[in-house]
Amino acid sequence: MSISRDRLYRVSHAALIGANLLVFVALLATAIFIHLENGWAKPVFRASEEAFVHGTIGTELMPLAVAQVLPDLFPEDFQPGGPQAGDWIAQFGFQRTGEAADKGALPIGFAVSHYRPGSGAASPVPFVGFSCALCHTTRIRETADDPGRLLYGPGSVSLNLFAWLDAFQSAILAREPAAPGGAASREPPYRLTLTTISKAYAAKTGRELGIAERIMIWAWLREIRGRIQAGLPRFDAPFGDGRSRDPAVAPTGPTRTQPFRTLVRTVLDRPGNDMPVYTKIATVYSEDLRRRAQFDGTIADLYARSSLAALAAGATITNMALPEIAHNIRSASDFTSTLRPPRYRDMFVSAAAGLDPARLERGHAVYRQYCTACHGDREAVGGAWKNGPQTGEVVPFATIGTDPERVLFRHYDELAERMFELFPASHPFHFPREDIWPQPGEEQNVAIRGYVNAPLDGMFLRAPYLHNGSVLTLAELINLKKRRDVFYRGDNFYDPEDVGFRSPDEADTRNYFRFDTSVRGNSNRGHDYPWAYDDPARNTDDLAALLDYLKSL
Amino acid sequence: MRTKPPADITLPQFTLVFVIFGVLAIFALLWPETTQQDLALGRTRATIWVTSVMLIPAFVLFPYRTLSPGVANLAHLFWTFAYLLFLIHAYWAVFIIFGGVGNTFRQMGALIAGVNFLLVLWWGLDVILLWTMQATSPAAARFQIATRTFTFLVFAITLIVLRGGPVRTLGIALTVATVLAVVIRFWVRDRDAEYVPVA
Repeated sequence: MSISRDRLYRVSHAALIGANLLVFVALLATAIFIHLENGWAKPVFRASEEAFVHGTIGTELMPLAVAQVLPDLFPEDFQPGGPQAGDWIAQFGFQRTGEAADKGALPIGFAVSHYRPGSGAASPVPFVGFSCALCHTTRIRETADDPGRLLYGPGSVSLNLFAWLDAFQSAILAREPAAPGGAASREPPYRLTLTTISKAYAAKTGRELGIAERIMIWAWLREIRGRIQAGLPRFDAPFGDGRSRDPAVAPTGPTRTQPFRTLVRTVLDRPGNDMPVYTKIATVYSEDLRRRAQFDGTIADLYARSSLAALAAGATITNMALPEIAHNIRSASDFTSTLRPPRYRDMFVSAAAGLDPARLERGHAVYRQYCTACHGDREAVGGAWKNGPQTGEVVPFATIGTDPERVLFRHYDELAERMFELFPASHPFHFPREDIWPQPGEEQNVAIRGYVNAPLDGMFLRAPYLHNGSVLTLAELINLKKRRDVFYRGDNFYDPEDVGFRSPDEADTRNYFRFDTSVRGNSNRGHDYPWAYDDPARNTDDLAALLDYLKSL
Repeated sequence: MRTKPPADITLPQFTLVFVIFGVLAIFALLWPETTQQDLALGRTRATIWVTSVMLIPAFVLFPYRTLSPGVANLAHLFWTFAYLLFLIHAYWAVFIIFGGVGNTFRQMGALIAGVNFLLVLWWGLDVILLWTMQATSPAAARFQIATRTFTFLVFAITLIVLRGGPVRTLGIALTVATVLAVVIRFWVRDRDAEYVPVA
């Protein structure tokens, strides 16, 4: 069939006009998209407590719709103790608000925003990240029947975040069972898909996912799966399948994190797998009393400390610069500056009523002799905390004798400089180089590394004790009682007599994590003040009196 | 030395340049959505990359503009649409990243910010004169050559010297292509001058 020259011209002419129109429409659509995008994330500038509890710190992890159904889709990952051990919130130690209206809602510390993970770009659908309250909120309960008291400030007694992250990654990478007779070279499809999420979401909420939700979930799934897979050669695969809470898999356990594993991966681009650095989640009362933060006192500036904590929890340099996220981090930090602990006498009324004033005075004398210089004391009038002359100083680990792994881990020498370089001068969380240790030239000086003398206000709420959470009670910390070599962690009940947490003799549904103090990084030795347990001078009456006085702080 | 202003632009000529411009602009504005980096910064970077890509044919064709009206039209179209991409870049850099002209000077420093703003104005003036004056005088030619030389130097130095990474490759490509085009043009012109046709 021949085509006339005129016809060819008309067709090509129409094609060229069509191409121009197509490009014009695409440009227009792009402009409209960007205009709409600007309205997706309206910054919210919260008051300080609100920022602490609900404000995102840049750790967006997944779309809200996914967070609502993921545990239902992967019970083998999110209910490792079996259905009888409770839902995923209970099994990983998250906290509920306790209000009836919140039944089925996400736990405290799951912040909802319209920022995408990593970039902080605006999203048309809500994403779930973390607020400060995720880690720094706990519920103190004495018995199973006790509804307990929810407190902002103390490190969570029960949260096993690293185990939950293992379960999360396992769910993202889970595949369908291999088909019988299928090609061995071909991997089965992933279980978590847009389709499975859509079906589960519709079944749970009675609502179909919208087009924007579908697009964002599809894009998120590609991105996060790609990122986890890209990291597998360096970081290794998650365990999942009910093993996430196993101490051999996630040795951090409840109440603790491995903050430097994340920072080493983020900042140095190294695996960070061979570092037994476990630190309990910090209690963040009265941060205004602390000249230096972190257990080793390496950071002076409160905002710098908070921004590095956010970075360790998954925030990025990019999204921490967003006005709302920067405000949340600063405002939540301000909240912890002036947040004061409740008093023992108000929380444990009957136990406090039984305290003998004479013994309290004797305990105070012991405290003044052995503790005040390093930790400070409450003023007699008004009860405000007053730091001691050595509060805020770093005691070398060789002197204090506690587990040294926290200050001897690989990369310790280079992290400070690299973290400083991470925040350019124009960044909201840029800090002076002198605010972070070790200073240039002192990187290799191991002798100056140690642990900082901290104020002890609200001491009864700072359990478990020592930086690695290896001592469950104050009675053991002051060597009134022998420190346990092995105990069990989970959602432990509070012990107002020994001041700290109770542990069963063997694992149970509630306390599943075997804490072995002989494991590297878990040592419970050191800080033998006033006396070591085997010191002949040890006076148990004085120690019992000291324990009573410590309750009053 | 005379200029060759745009004239009788054909639909294929316009389509070729406009489609390339559209694809590059859409890529620069949407590609950063797929990355983990700061979206505004990603758009700012991507728009300067695509401006550089668009400038390559503009620089390469410019020395040959007197050979035919078609070449001249394409050279001017690429030059003009490259400027539109550069304006998108400048908008994102000045108003989204730095938050205004004053802040741009404060954060970039007077020298770099000054050069960038001079480029916006000078290149813009050139484009306006190109399409409105239709001038063919030697003065107009000198002005066009000066504008392109300045633009070339700013892009080449920025991409090769001031920026590292993969974008340096783009800068090298732009420089090599432009220099080659100019050298070949002079070489061909010299040969033309030596060639005496036999009557």
